[in-house]
Amino acid sequence: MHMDWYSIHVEERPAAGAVDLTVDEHAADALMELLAEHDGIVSAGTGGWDATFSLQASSAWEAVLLGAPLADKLAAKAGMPSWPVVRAEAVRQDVLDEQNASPTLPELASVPEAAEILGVSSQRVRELAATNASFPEPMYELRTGKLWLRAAIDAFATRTRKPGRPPKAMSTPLLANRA
Amino acid sequence: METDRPGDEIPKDYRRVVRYLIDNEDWVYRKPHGNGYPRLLPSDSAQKPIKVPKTPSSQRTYGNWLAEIRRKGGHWPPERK
Repeated sequence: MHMDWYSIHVEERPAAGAVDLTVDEHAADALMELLAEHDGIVSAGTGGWDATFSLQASSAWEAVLLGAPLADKLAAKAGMPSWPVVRAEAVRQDVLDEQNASPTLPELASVPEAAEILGVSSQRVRELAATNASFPEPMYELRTGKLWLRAAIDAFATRTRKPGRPPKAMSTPLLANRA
Repeated sequence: METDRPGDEIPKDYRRVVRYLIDNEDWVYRKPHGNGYPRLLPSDSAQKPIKVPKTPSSQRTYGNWLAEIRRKGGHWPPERK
């Protein structure tokens, strides 16, 4: 049977009404030690703990079925509180590596960048933002100006671009609208 | 909140990420007491502190650690593509 590496994430939280919500720091360190051979990382604080570690399995389903009890067993051995598992997820390790390599911050566009994407002036971008209902809402409004998701500006450009070759004098229909 | 600065107690690749997070995203780093593990506290105080490995570890451990940081609101890699 073909086996792949999977990254498992298990989270435990106290049951509703539990009185003691603390996690002993030494127990969390002990769990980190026990999970070392499984490439494990532990996060722990008041009201919960989680562990992310790796194991080989034939599928994501199997990885969760093997991983959740393993985390429970090692947590008990380390002296961690025995709380219900509230989350158990598995992702194939190469997929996780791919995710980790891509930036989490979305790509943003300011007025000059939006102008460049749309092929219009910065002034025209401000006009579009103020008057065109289909222009994207800004993600942020700072004192220095608005910021949009670049993907939203790209999508607006695609929506408003007319097919065929642009006229010589005006490179895009957005400019034509300005008259 | 005051933060410690990471040093030789953690491997270089981890140190680079910790430095970025404490310098740019208001995370806090705590050196260990005794034999414990260093901890990285997310800027969102509702998130739990993440342990930092003390010795060079596998690529999988590093990947799991990065996933945990991203899950708790940290941004890495910082560059936009």
